[in-house]
Amino acid sequence: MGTWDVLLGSIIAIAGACIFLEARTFPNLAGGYPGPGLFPQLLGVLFVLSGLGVAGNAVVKRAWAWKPPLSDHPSREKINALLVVLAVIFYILLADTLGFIPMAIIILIALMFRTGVSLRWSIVLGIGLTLAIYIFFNRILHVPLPSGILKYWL
Amino acid sequence: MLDIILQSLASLADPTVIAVILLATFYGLFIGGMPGLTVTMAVALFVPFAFFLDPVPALAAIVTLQAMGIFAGDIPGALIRMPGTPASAAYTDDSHALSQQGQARLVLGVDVIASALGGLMGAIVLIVGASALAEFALTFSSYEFFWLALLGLSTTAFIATASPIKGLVAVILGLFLSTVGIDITLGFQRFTFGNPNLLGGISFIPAMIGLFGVSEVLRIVLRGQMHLAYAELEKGASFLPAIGTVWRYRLNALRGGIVGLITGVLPGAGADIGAWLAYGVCKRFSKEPEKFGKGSMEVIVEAGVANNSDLAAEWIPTLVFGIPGDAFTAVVIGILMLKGLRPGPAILHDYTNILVAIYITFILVNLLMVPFGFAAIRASSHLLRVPRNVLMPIILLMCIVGAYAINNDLFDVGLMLVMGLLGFLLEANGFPVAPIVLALVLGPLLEQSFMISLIKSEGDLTLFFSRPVAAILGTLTLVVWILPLVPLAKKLITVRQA
Repeated sequence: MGTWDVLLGSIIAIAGACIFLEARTFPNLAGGYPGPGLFPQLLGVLFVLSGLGVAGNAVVKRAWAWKPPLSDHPSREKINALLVVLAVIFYILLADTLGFIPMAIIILIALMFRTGVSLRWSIVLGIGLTLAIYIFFNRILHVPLPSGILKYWL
Repeated sequence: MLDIILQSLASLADPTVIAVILLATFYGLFIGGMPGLTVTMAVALFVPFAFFLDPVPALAAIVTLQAMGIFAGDIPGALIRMPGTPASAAYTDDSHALSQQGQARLVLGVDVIASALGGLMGAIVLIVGASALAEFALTFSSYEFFWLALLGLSTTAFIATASPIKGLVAVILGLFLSTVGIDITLGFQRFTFGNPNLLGGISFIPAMIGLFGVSEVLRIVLRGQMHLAYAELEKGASFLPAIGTVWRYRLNALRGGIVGLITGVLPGAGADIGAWLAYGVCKRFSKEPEKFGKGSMEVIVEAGVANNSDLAAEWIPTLVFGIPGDAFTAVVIGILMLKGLRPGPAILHDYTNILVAIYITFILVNLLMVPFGFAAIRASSHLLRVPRNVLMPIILLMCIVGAYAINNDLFDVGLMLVMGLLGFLLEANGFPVAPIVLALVLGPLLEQSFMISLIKSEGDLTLFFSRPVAAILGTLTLVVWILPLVPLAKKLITVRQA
């Protein structure tokens, strides 16, 4: 964790400096009283100090052991985690066009199959669970889930 | 008062409320009992449902979810040495060691009785304490609220985390996120980068679903352990032996309850702190300290009572001051706001019916915990057999729908993903995530009370200590800041002497 602490601590400190500088441009209240910039400026200073603290702590402990990110995990699991992230991005980009039902079925089947559920069960559970979630949220709680290509049928 | 109690009972007797409480019972027992899934995640995923419920069923569900989930966290702790919730972590080694010795059913039975007992103790203190404290809190000015919010955040940063400096980073990050959006004093846009979706600030619910839901899915998928090996339950009855065991350690139960109540009332300290503190106290006064970690029943009773008595007591600062005890009660504040109920001293007068309904729910749920808890123990082997590779994609989909449901906006799904990745990255590097949520909720109160106090005092910081209660709270806050420096100072002295 050491090298990462140095890196993250430095990023936090730099982010703190940016917050401080940006907040300095915020206006003051009438009569010279501090305005909306004061609180974020204080937070910026605290970010810089705590970021330096995190980095400094790692330096003092001489924790230099470099480990590439997620190196403890097998590559199959890393790809699965990446798929989780891609599934959400995929949903954000295509939900309005394709609609909730096709998107949810694709995501469930892909993730279940990838993490070791048989293809047959992935398809059965993917379709069944999507419909259950759709009925619960859309028909019972009236959440307007995107209908996409199925808008004339739903 | 009798009228109010009868009205509250009538509101709880509503079929919707009963159904919601029962569903929350199963949901809490299920999520709490699943290793790796926290009760905080359960409540994060529940919030979108709460959005569609009336205040009484929404809050009753939260109370149920919390109590059942914290108890159920003991199940995987005992059977596979993986606590279901952080609150169970303190005595997991003891529970598991006893399970390995063929006493799993007894340990879990003791957990049910201890949890129910702790919950009832907490409920009584909540009922008595909240009203008494609310009268007192009416005299609070911006100085007291400022110190109280800062004390809560300081506790969560410096005491409730393994690394105080990383806890501090998490708190500052949460506070920074709370400043995004239109500022209330001048209507000035802060850190929105021209994005209209950020004008109203960082939406609390998608942020929380990301931090607790998506990051947890990522962690479990990355770990890749989809099926778990668990200890089998021994045959035989467990109810009467469990009662007998708790009775044998009744003084431990009482002491654990008191420790839990004290940590619960302290803003910023959650049930896990209560359990760890009770563990420490129990070990300090035990006649058999050598048994600790190897199968001590007395610590299971003491810490088991402590974490559940803490839960109800946490609602006191949450309701009376609007200062949550942990990430869970931070969600309670979010739900109260969502329902148009502003937590603070006036809440006891303005919404007495709702509060009495909450009190009754606390008592009811802790009584219900006994039959449902023993049923959950019987079903525990089935619970642990649920394949996580089926569960994780479902949870991810629920996260997506939950984040979307509040504003019907895909921007919130993106926000959830960003917060999920942030939570994952931070936790992987030893930064706690719960303080971010706490600070996100407390940020506006802290900033507002700070600015009002600063303007009132015309920049004279000594006036922040001018009122007696403010001075006590301010001093307590300073003590919390100094505490992490004590080991460092001791180390320096030792190095110099060497």
